[in-house]
Amino acid sequence: MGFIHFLELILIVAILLVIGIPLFGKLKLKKLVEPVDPAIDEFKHLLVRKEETLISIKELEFDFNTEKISEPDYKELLHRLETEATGILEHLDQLEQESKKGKPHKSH
Amino acid sequence: MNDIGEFTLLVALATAIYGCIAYVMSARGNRIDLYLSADKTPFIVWACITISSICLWRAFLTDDFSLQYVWAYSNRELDTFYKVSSFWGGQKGSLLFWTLLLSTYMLVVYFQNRSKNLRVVPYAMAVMLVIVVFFLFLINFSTNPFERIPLPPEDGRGLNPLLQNYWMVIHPPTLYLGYVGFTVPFAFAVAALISKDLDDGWIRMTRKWTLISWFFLCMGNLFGASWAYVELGWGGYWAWDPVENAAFMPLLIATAFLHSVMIQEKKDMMKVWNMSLILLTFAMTIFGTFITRSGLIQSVHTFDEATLGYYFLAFLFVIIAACAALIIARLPLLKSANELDSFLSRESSFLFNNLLLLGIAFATFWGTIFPIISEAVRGVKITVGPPFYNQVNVPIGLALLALIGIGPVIAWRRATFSNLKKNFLKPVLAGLVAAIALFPVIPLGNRAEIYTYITFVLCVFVLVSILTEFYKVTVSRMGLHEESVVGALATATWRNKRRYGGYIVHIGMVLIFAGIAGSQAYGTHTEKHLQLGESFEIRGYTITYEKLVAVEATSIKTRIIAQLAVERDGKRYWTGHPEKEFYKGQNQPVSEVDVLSTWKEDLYMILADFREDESATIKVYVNPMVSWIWTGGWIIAFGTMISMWPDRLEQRRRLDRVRKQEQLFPSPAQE
Amino acid sequence: MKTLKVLMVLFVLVWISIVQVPDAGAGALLQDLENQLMCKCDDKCGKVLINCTCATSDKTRAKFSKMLESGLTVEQIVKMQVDEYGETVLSAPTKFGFNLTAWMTPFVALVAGGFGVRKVLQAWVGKKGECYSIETPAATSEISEKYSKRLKDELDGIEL
Repeated sequence: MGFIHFLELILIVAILLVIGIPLFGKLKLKKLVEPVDPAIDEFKHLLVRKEETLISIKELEFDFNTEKISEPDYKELLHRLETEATGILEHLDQLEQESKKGKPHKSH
Repeated sequence: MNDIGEFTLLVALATAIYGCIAYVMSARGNRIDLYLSADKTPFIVWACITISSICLWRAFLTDDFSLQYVWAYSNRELDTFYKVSSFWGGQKGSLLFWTLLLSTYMLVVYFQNRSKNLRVVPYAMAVMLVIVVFFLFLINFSTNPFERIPLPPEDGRGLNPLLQNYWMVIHPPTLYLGYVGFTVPFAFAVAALISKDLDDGWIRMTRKWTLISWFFLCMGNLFGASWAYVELGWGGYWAWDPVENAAFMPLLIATAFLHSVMIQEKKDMMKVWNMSLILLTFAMTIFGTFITRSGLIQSVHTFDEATLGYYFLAFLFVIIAACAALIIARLPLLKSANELDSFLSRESSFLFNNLLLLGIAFATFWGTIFPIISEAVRGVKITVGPPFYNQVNVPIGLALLALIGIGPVIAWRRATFSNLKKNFLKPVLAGLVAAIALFPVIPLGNRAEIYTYITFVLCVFVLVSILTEFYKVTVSRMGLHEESVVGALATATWRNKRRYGGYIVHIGMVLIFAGIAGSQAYGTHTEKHLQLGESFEIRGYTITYEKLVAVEATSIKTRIIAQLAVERDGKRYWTGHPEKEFYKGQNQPVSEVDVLSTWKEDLYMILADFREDESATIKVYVNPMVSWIWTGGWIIAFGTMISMWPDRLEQRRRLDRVRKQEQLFPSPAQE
Repeated sequence: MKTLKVLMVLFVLVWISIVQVPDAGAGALLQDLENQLMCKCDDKCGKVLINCTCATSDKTRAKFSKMLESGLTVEQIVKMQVDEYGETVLSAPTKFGFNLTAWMTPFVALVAGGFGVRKVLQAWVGKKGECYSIETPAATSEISEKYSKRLKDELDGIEL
C-alpha cells in the first residue's frame, strides 16, 4: 500500500513539474501570437480563393469537355471566372506591394 | 492496480480542468508561458486515462471480481476475446472507453496542429478538454468503474450472451470512433467562432477528421445491422430502435455537412449553415448518448443502470445554448456574399440534398421523441415503431436516391438545360428499360412491393448515371494520353480522389438501397414443427430435419444444435446448423442462427424450440438480396478510403500557399 | 420529359400512400397483425411483435393465429388489444386526433424547408442576375494582358 502511495506522489510531483516549469521560465514577456494583422488574413484568404477559382476554371473546362454545359454558357462562365481570378491576382499583388512598402525591413 | 486506476482518473480530471483554463487564459492573455504549460496537459490526460484503462483491462483479464464492474460483466469462463470487449459492455466501462478514444483523438490533433495556427488551436484544445472534463466528471463521481465490492465473490455474473458475438466486439468501438470523432471538427468550429478566425480554415483543417468520423459512424451502423441480423434472430437487420436512430441521425446530418462544405470551399458562402450543421451533428451524438443512458425510451441498447440521462441532457442544453449564442454573436463576421449563378446547378442540387437528408433526420428525431410529446400533451403513452419510420422515411429516401443520380450530371455553377437533357437521356432510358423489364416479373401487390419496384428502377437510373461519369472521364483520358481502359480509369480516379471516391460511395449507397428494398418486400418465412427426418419446402429449397445434438461447450454454456439438410433440384446443397445456447444463470436461451448467403438471397435458419422427443420447431426465412447491403458497405468503405487518401497535389498547393505567405509576412520565430 | 417523369413519380407516390392494397391469406393477416402490434412481455423488450423472439411473443402469435381462425378480423383483434393494453400496444401512432401531428409534422417541415430552399435560391440567383445585367456589357472588356498571361501560367501550375 505504501508503495502505491509513493508512486502516486511521484506522479503528482512529476505532473506539477512538467506543467509548472514553463510558468517560471523567462518566457513571461513573450507573446503567443502577434497582434492580428488584417493584411495577413486577407492575403491568406485570397491565396485560398485564388486556388479555388483556378480549380473552378479547370472543373469548368472538364464540365465543358464532358458536355455538361453548352459553349455559350461555358464561354460566359469562363470569362466570369477569369475576371474573378485576375481580380484576385491584382489584389494579391497590391497587398504584396503595400506590405513591401510598409515594412521594407521585412521584405527580401 | 485498481487504486492506481482510480487515482489516475482523478489526476486526469484535475489536469484536464487546469488544461482548459490555462489554454483559454493563454489565448486571451496572449501569454506563451501559460500556453506552453497548458500544452503539456493533453498528453498527461491521455496518459492517465490510458493507464486507468489498462488497469480496468487487467482486472478483466485476471478475473478480479473485487471490482463491481468486472463482477457484473465477466466471469471466469468467458473467452479472453470477450473479456477484452467486456470493457465496453456496460455503462461505466463504455464511458471510460469513450473518454479513452476522445483523449486519443485529442492527442493526435495535438501532434498534428501544435504549431500550426496558434490563434485557433488553443481554443480547439480547450473545447475538447471541456468535453473530456464532462466525461471524467461522470466517471469519477457518478459511475466509477473501479467501485469495489468489500467481499469479492468467487465468480462473476457473466457477459450478456447477446453481446458474445464478434460483431459486438467490433460494432461499439467503430460506432464510438465515429461518434467521438465529430468532437474534433466541432471543437475547431467552436474555436473558429471564439477566435473570430472565420475563414474556411477550420473546414480545411478538419476535413479528414470529418470524413474519418463519417466513415466509422457509417461502418458502425452497418456492423450493428450485421450484429442484429445474425444475433437477434428475427430475420431482419434494422428495427428503427431509438438507439439505432440515435446513431443514424448524426450520420445523416454529417452527410449533409460533407456535401454543403463543398459549396463553402468553392464559393466561400453558406458559412452559418455549415457551422450550424457541424454543431448539430455533435449535438446529435450527445443526444444519442442521452437516449442510451437515460432509460427514458425502451430499447435493446439501454444499459442496465441507465441513470445518467439527465447529466447528458443538461450538457446537451449547455452546448446548444452556448453554440447558438456564439453563432449569433459572430453573425456579422459570418456574412458572406451568397450568390449562385443559376437554379440549375450542382450547388442548388446540394441544397436539396441537404433538405432531404435533414428531412429524414428530422422525421427520425420526431418519431423518437414523439412518445414523450404525446405523454406530455395527452397524458397517453404511445409507441412509435418501424411502421411509422418506414412510411415516412421511405418516400424521402427515394427522392434522395433519385438526387444521387441527378447530382453528378449537373454542372457546377450553371448547367445548360439542353445539355442536361442530353446527358439524362441514357440514365432515364436505362431506368425506363428497367421499369418495363421488371414490370412483368415483379409482384406489385402491396405498398412495400411498389416501393421496391420504384427503388429498383431508380437504382438502375442512378447507377447508369454514375457509371456514365466514369465512362466519360475514362474515354477523355484515353483520347489524351493513350492509356488502356483500366489505366485511364485508375488514373482519372486517382487524379480527383474526392470526386470519384465520392461517386464510388454513391455506388455503394445504391447497392444498399437495392438490398433493403429487395429484402423488405420479397422475403418470406415459415415456421414448422418437425419430427426427425421430416422435411418441408420453401422457395424451392427442401429442408430436412436430420438430427439434434447437445454439446456441453463449457461448464456454463450448453449448445443444442439442429442439423438441417438443404436440397435444391433434388441435390444436397448445404447443411445448416442453427442452435440454441443455454447459459447458466440466464433465463432465456440465445438463438444462434445459421445463414446461407448468396448474392440472390439468404437462407436464414433458426432453431426456435425443441422437445424431449427430439422434435423441433424450425423457423426459416428467405431474405432476398441482403448480401447487397453488406457489399454496398464494403464499396462505401473503399470509396471513402479513396477520397480520404492524402493527395500529393493538394499538399503541394497547401505548402505553396504557406511558402508564399511566409515570404511576404515572415512569422516571428516560435518558441 | 423530366417534368413528366417527376409527375409520374409523384402520382405513383401519392397513389400508393393512399391506396392500401389488402393482403390475402392467413399468413399475411398474421404478419399484418405482427406489424401493427408491439410485444408485451414482462422484460419490456420494446420490440414490434414481428421482430420479437422472446417466449411471450411466440405465445402471442399462437393466440392471434387462433383468433384469426375463429373468424375475427385484424381490426377487431387490434381493437381488443388496444382495449386491453392501451395505445402503447400499437406499433405506430393512429392516424387521427393529436397523433396525426406525428405523421404530418415531418412532411410539413419538409415542404416548409422546400419553400425555404426555393426562396433562398431565388434570392441568391437573383443577386447574380443583377450583377449579371451590369456585367454583360463588360463581357467584352479585355482582361489586361499582363494578368491574362499570369492567369495562364497559374492555371498550368494547377494539375487536376
